[in-house]
Amino acid sequence: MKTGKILILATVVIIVVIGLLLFSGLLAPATTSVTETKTEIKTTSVYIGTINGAGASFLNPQMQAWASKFYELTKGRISVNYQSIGSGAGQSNFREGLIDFAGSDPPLKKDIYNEFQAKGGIIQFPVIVGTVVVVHNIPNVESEKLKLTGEVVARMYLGEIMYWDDPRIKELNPELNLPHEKIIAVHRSDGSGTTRVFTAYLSKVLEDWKEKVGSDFTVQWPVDQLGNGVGGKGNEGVAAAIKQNQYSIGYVETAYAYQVGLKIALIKNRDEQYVLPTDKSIRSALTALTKILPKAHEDWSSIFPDETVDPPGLDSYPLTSFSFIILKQEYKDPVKVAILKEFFEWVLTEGQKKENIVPGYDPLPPEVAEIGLEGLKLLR
Amino acid sequence: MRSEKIFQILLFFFIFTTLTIVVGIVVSLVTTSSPIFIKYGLDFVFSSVWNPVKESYGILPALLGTLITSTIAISIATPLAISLAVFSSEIIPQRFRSLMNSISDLMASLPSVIYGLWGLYVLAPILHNYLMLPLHNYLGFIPLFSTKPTPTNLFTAGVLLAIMIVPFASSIIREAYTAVPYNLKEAAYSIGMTKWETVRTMLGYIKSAIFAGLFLALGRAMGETMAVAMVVGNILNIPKSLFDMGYTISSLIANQFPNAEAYEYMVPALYGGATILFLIGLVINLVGLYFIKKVMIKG
Amino acid sequence: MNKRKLKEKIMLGTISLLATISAIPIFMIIINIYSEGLRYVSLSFLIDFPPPPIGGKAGGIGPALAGSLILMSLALMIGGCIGFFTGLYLSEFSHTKLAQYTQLFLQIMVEFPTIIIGLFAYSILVVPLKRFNAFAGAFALSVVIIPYIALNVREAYKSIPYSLKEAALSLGISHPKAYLRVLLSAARRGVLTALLIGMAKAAGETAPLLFTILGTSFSYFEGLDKPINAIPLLIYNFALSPYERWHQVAWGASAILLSIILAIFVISRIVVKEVKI
Repeated sequence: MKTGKILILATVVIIVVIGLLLFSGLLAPATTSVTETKTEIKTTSVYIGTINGAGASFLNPQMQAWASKFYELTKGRISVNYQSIGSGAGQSNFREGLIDFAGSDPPLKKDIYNEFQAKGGIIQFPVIVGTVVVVHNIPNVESEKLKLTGEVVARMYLGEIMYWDDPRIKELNPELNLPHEKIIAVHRSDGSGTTRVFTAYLSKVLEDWKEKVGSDFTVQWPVDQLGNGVGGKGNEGVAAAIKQNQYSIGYVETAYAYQVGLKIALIKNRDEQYVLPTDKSIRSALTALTKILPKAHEDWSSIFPDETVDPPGLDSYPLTSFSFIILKQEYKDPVKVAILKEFFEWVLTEGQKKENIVPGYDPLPPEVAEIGLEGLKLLR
Repeated sequence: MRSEKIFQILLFFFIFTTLTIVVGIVVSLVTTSSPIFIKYGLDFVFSSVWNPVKESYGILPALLGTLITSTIAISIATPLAISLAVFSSEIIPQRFRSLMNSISDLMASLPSVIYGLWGLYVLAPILHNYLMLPLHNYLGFIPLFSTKPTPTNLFTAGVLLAIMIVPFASSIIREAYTAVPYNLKEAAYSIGMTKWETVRTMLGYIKSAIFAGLFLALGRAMGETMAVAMVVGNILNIPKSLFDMGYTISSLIANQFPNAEAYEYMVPALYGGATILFLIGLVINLVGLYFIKKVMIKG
Repeated sequence: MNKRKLKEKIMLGTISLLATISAIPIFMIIINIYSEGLRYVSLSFLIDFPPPPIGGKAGGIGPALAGSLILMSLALMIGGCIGFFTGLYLSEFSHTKLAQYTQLFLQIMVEFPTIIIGLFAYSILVVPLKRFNAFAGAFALSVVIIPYIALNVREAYKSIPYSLKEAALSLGISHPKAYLRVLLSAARRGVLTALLIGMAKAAGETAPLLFTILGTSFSYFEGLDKPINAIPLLIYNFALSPYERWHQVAWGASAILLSIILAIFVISRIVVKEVKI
């Protein structure tokens, strides 16, 4: 009989535990969404806790550096947990309410923005500057020598320009000896903000591209159907594919191109100048951009990246972009609000100082950082 | 008697839980994937277009990738698994047998992410330099080797899968082999058969077990996710040669599911892929189990 | 030398060669993982938070290690319980239709692609609860190990000689007592092995965790309803990253994971040996 009782007891315990786990989860959002420990809120307004975010892989190294530094600064009081799962995934998880904040290369799409506007509002603001470069692997051409225009690049990915000695490329590079070799066009195979920015640029410079392909996290690459396309997962996948395929072309985040030593191509900007992503060309682009950027609580989808790519300015680098943080205006848990505010205020001020920026990224100009700082005031 | 009743109820409760989970998985697969089958019908299976922007989804490239990698895996694994089973139960001295079996069992229990890491950084470069490049350079005219290989591609994934399933298949074969009645072996020797001839006779005798082991291993190869996702290349193209980068259904899910909510039909599409994977796996495993049953009746 | 003898030599030689080839990878894997990974392992590697990609401290896998241990024990508690009693039922009521069907289901479930189980856990535990959580991961791992444990427990109880079973059940003690005390000790070798197999599975599975636990960087454990990290997940994420520092952490983490698996494996061998007498 004793065993019987033990058994019953064991079962009851298990069922209760499982039940509790499930229901604590189900009920929790109605009260407060977390059990973060609040200490001395009234006296010193110091909060302890964790915020969970996920999204853009481009942002990840910089986010980890910030989170790591901030954890040290607050002596372990605040942990910022950011997981690199991709911009698209970050946005959809944020929409489902699975994470506290999303990191994303492009801002929210119009319909998702409206959806959030209808229930409490949203803020989204740039946290770091990122640029995309066009890279190539032509054995006898060195880095920063090949000149390209957006239109030519678009036609390569359309499969219309198939060989490196095509007159349209030769015309731009009279001094280079370009071989009669097939162009292998490398692109991202996963959903990516980099692809979104790159295809927005191609759409802007070539109407044909806009009609046939468009711009999104993942698109169907016309060049794939001709068998001359290769996809790679993540920046590293693209880099690997470029290194392994001679006579290939591709696009990656600038930081990454320098890190693994890919050959970078010059791109013609709107004012007919061939430019590389340098401090000067990025600053020039940002100066042109700042005028058209909306406020944090407004809809960015119509402006970024479709309007911000290829900005005017003699020195401007055309593929200059931002990475965004997306927050809700309303959180059920006041502790979470306080922590989010504290962390992102630091990111937008101290975090932009040179010593806190990972090599390969560029800090925001103060007037762009101001967009986020203003936006954070709406948090409640 | 009361405790007996409670005990019975308890057992029922747990078995019911197990059944609920199994049924729940199947039901959630079918219900979540149904929109994609309703919208696209069989086009979903036979179309090679995977274009989320235009909301058109075809699973064919990934399905082919799954079939190709598992075919490569099983063709490499078959001779290896049979040899390993015979070797460890017939050829090496008695006292090393349990060590050999331990090693094989250990291989079967290594996590796939470890195989993946090793495959990505050790196996892929070795295969690339010493096998795939020479094959392409000298036999590139054969369509199978026509693509200039990158280290990660369908072939690498197939080889890695083979390494992973050999111990599993061989342990099933080994079990059947050692369970063959001793007098059969004795009889074989007594009529003057050589060791090899005896082995061949025994293998003939346990044919069903060999099929069972291979089918179950094939099922495993098809469902494997992490190791494959790390070495297959993750490209959605209809593969033209073994050296093309590709996708498998499970690696497609692993890569694209996090993004899927952003699109209207991608979640059903990926669940649709999972359903197809499940159905193929089900058939293969049922065949495997059928052979196992045959072995058990015979034994 | 006659032809048959020659053929014998060739065939047996080929078999030995192929068998050796198939055993080479395991040695390579163990050697590669330890030679690459062990040099990064230290006490602080086991405790510290993962490092930033460039600069900062060397870092470690603390959260992932803690998370893996928690997930493993949870999965073993839930999956072990359900699996054990399911296995017991399968063995003792094997004549019933219910048992036969369940067994078939379990045999199929063993071969389920584990990523499907991850999708299932995501849809019933992550989406409704509106957050990634440790419990969803533990649940997914439990589902993965239930069939392994159930089928092995069934074997263990099946292998008890009929006479012993009959004797135990006719002792006059209650059935639960007979099954869980007397017969369990007879089957303990098999049951323990079953649990150890389950544990090893739970330690190494990645796919069920991809969509359930999110991962953490700066916290070990904050509750079952919060994200958590796990070693396999960390390896997957870091191995595919572009940063050398993170690759090193992935190798180090692999060495730890391999050690956990080896430890479980060795224990299971000892258990089997000890009870064999």
